[in-house]
Amino acid sequence: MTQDKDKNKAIAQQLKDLTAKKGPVSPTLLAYYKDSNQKHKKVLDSIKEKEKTVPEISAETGLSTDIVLWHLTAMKKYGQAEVILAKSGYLKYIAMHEESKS
Amino acid sequence: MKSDLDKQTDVLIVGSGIAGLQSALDIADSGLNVTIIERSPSIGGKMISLSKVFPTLDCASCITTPKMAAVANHPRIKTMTYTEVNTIRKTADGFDVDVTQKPRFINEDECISCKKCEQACPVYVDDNFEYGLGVKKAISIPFTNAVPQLPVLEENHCIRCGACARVCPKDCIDYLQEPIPQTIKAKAVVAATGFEIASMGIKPEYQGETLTNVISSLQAERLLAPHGPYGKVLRPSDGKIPDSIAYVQCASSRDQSIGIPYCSRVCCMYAIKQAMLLAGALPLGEITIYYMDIRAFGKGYEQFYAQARSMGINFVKAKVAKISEDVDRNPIVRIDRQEEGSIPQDITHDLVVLSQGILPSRKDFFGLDITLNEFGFVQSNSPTYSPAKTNINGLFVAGVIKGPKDIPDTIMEAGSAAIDAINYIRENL
Ligand SMILES: Cc1cc2nc3c(=O)[nH]c(=O)nc-3n(C[C@H](O)[C@H](O)[C@H](O)COP(=O)(O)OP(=O)(O)OC[C@H]3O[C@@H](n4cnc5c(N)ncnc54)[C@H](O)[C@@H]3O)c2cc1C
Ligand code: SF4
Ligand code: SF4
Repeated sequence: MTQDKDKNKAIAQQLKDLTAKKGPVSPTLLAYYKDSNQKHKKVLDSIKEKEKTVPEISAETGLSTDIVLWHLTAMKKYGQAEVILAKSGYLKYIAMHEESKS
Repeated sequence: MKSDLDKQTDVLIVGSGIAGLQSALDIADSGLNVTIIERSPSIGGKMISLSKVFPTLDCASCITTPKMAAVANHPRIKTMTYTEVNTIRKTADGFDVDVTQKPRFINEDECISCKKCEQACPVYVDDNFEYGLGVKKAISIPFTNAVPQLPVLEENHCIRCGACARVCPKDCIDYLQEPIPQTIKAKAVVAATGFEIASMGIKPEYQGETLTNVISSLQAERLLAPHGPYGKVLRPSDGKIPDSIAYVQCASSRDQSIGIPYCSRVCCMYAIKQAMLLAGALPLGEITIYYMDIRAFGKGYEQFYAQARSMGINFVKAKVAKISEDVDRNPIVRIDRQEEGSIPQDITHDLVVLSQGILPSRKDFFGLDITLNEFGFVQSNSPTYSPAKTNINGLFVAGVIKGPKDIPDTIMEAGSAAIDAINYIRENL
C-alpha cells in the first residue's frame, strides 16, 4: 500500500516536472481525446447486446461509417469486441463480455 | 536514458530493411563488428510489413522474422533502433557518423515487454505500421513481431494521464527522457536506406488523398497480411467486403510531368501478386488491373503473370484519366481503353489500389558528396564488377537506395556490399 503511494507520488512528480519543462498538454490534443473517447463509448454501447454491422452502428449512433470502423478496429485489437465473419457484405461486431476477455 | 551505442565499430549499416539485415549478417559472420542504425522502432524495413512475396507466394514475415532474430542475437551485431543518422563525415581513418537516439520514454534495460502500459493507455491513434488503416495506443509496441519488443510513447499523442506508469510492473516509464545525439566512428559504412512510395496526392486527378476507398499499394499489403488491421480484406470507408477491386498501374511512374519518368520495376509484379491473393481471399470478388504494359522481368515472373490470367484476373490495357466517387463512396475510374478503340468509359469499383512509384528515401545523403543518378538514387562506381561501390572510398550501398528492385536482387546486392566492405577493411585498414 505504502509502496503504491510512493509510486503514485513519484509519477505525479515526473508529470509535474514534464509540464514545467514542456508546458501543459495542448488543448487540441485534449479535445481530440475527449471527442474520440465519446465516439468509442457510443460504438461500444451500440454492440453491447446485439451484433451489428458498420452501417447499422453508423445509423444508430450518427457517426460516419469510417469512424465506426476505426473504433471497431481498435476494439478488436484491444479485446473489447469480436467479429462474426461473413463471406460477403459486412462483418458483424459484438462487444466482448468481461469473462470472455480473460 | 542510458545509451548502449558503441562509439566505434568496423562497419556501420544505415537502415535495417532486408538489404541492411543481409549485409549485417554476412559481415558479422566474417568476424567483423557491425552496428546497425535504424530510424524506426523495429528492424525489418518494408519487407516485414508485406503480405506474401512474388513469385513464390511465401509469407513475407516468415522469411524476415528469422533474419531479424538472427541479427538481434548475433554476438557481433549491435542494433540501435529508433535512431536517426543525421550526417556522415569522411575522416582519415574511416567515417564519423552523427546519430540521434530518439526517446521511447521507457527504460529499455528494465522493460519486460508485458504490454501492460499499452493496455492501460486510453488514447487511440492511427497505426503507422498499418499505413494509417489500423489503430494503436499513444504508447505501444510497434507490431506483433517487432524487434526489439519495446514500446514507444508518442509524445505528441500523450495526454499525460500517468496510466501507463501506474501499471508498469518494472517502473520503467520515464516521461523526462531526451534525445541523445552522439558520434560513432566506423571503418566502413553500408548505406541501405531503401525507399518511400510516392505520395498519394502526387496525381491530383486520382484523388488518392481524399477518396477513402482509394488506397496505396502498401496499405493493400496490410489488408492482405495475416495480422492485418481488420483481420480480413475490408474497404476503409465502411468495412464492406469488396466485390470489385481495381489496380491502377504506373499510378506515379513513367510520368515526366510528376518527376518520376522511370519504371518502378516491382509494381506490375506486386499488383499481380496482390490480385492473386485477393482472388484467394475473396472467391466471389472481381479483380481488374488497368495497365499500359506488364513488366514481368525476373525468373519465373512471366509464368506468374500467366497464372494470374488463368485465375480469371481481368487485365485491361487502358490509361486511367481520373478517379472520382459516387454517393456510396464507390470509386469511379475513368479509363481510356488502348485496345478496343479509345472510348472513355467510367467503371465503378468498391476499392481501388494505386500502384505508386518508388522514390529514394533521401536525396541529401547525410551531407556526403555522393554521386546520385538523375532520379536521386545512388550511382554505383563500378556497376558491372562491384555494384555496391560508390564514389566515396569505404562507403557502399545495397538495396533500393540504388534504384527500384525486388527482394531477390536486393539480397544479392546486400551480399555484394558485404563482400566489398569486408575486402575494403582487410586491404586498407
Ligand atoms: C507494395 C510493395 C510490395 C512489394 N512486394 C514485393 C514482393 O512480393 N516480392 C519482392 O521481391 N519485392 C517486393 N517489393 C519490393 C521490396 O519491398 C524491396 O525490394 C525491398 O523491401 C527493399 O529493401 P531495402 O532494404 O532496400 O529497403 P527498405 O525496406 O525501405 O529498408 C530501408 C530501411 O532504412 C531505414 N532508414 C531510412 N533512412 C534512415 C536513416 N536516415 N537513418 C536510419 N535508418 C533509415 C528505413 O526505416 C528502413 O527500415 C514490394 C514493394 C512494394 C512497395
Ligand atoms: S501517460 Fe500518455 S502514454 Fe501513458 S497512458 Fe497516459 S496517454 Fe497513454
Ligand atoms: S508496462 Fe513497463 S515493462 Fe511492460 S511493456 Fe510497458 S514499459 Fe515495458
